Amino acid sequence: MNNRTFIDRMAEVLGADADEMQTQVSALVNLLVNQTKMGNTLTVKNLGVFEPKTKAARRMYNPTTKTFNAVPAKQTIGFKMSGTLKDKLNS
Amino acid sequence: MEKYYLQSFAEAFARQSGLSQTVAEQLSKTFFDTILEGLETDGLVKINGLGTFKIVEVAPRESVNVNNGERILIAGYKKVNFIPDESTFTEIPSDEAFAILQEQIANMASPDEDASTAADDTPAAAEVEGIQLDAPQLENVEQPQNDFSAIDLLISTPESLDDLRAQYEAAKVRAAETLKAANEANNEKCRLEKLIAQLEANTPPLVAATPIVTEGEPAGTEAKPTSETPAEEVVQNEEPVKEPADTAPEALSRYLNDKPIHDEPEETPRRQRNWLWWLLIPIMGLLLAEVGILVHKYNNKQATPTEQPQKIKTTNPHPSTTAKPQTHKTDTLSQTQTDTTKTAAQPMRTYTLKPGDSLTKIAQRVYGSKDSVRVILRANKFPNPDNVPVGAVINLP
Repeated sequence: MNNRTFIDRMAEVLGADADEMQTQVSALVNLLVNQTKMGNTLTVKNLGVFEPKTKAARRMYNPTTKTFNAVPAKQTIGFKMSGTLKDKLNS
Repeated sequence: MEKYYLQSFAEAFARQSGLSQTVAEQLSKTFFDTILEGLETDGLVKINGLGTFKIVEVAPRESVNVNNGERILIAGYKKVNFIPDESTFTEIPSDEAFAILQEQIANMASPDEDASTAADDTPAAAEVEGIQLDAPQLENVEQPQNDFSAIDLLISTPESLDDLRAQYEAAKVRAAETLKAANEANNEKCRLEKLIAQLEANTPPLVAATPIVTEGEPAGTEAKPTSETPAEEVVQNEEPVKEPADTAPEALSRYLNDKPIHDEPEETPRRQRNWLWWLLIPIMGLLLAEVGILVHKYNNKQATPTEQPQKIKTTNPHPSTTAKPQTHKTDTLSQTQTDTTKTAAQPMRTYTLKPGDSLTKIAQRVYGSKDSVRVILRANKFPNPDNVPVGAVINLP
């Protein structure tokens, strides 16, 4: 399910316009990502937990220029599925 | 650090977007429901700005039961893999590890640019210290801004982001500056330490003879000692010397006597002490010799009967142990005695290898420790010490 079909499916369920749905969903996603990166977690029943995740700084090698570069540490969003979802998937 | 659930999340969403509570709740509920639905139908959900949810199969694997050591098969299962979207990644400002990495890479890129940074390994430690010292400051500056921007993020992201970026740049510049300063300071420190060490090494002989010179011109210290030594020798020659053969102990005694005095005019007590030294040394020597002779005599009486059986049964696995108690009883100081026992035990024993033998086992049995294999290896020249043929005759020192 790609982004288009996902939005379409949501619009169908809620009975709304697809374009309008797109803006609302992107607002929701924005909030979710920002909140999570601030260190908050969101637990969704039957689905899982959205939690902050940090990627450590690392050294990167550029094969074309043959130079090393430092990649800074980054903050992003992580997801862990819930136990109920696991049971559901493996039943 | 806050824990959101669907309810509280929908509330926050309603506040931010201006939607009514019920609509926001409905929207967020269907959002997550659709993710679940998509996962169940397709096994893959892609959402712009968030990431990709994907069902991945974990292959079954073998493991071992910890309690009984049996092999067990852990069944494979399905799990949801989440790959965050590229756009969700944001750099963390004022990151220590990143600063260190950058410094390392900079050093790597220009290893032979200038001698001061390349030659010294110590500045690296100083750099780390510098960063660690600097870090709390940066965090202190950053923290209130973070709280502020946290609220800001809800309302308008771009402004706070720019703000953060600007601060990040400033912190970066500051970190670089402090690094430089730390580097320079450390270099200076190293140089001064070397200078101090040099001066310290040169001062003692100079204090004894010409104390004014060292204070007056510290730069010329390196040249001085060479001109100083002949003068000292003259002083030594003036003294009544009984044994001119060994000059080293004399110099040492002189040095020892010089140190506590520090003043030139008081030469007479020093000479008296030297006299004492020269009297003590022959007396001590005589005493030692006497003790040695006595011990030697005493041991000869005891050793002669025991030495003979030793020589006869050379295959005895513990000849050295039988010899050892004697030396302990008499005196460890008597070198001559230990020499005689060594010569008595010197003839090498031999051993014929049997099937199942190993050099380590033999070492354990004969010398009492596996490490003693080295002794056996040294005494024998095996083409391959790991595989010595059965029936080979080996020497046991």
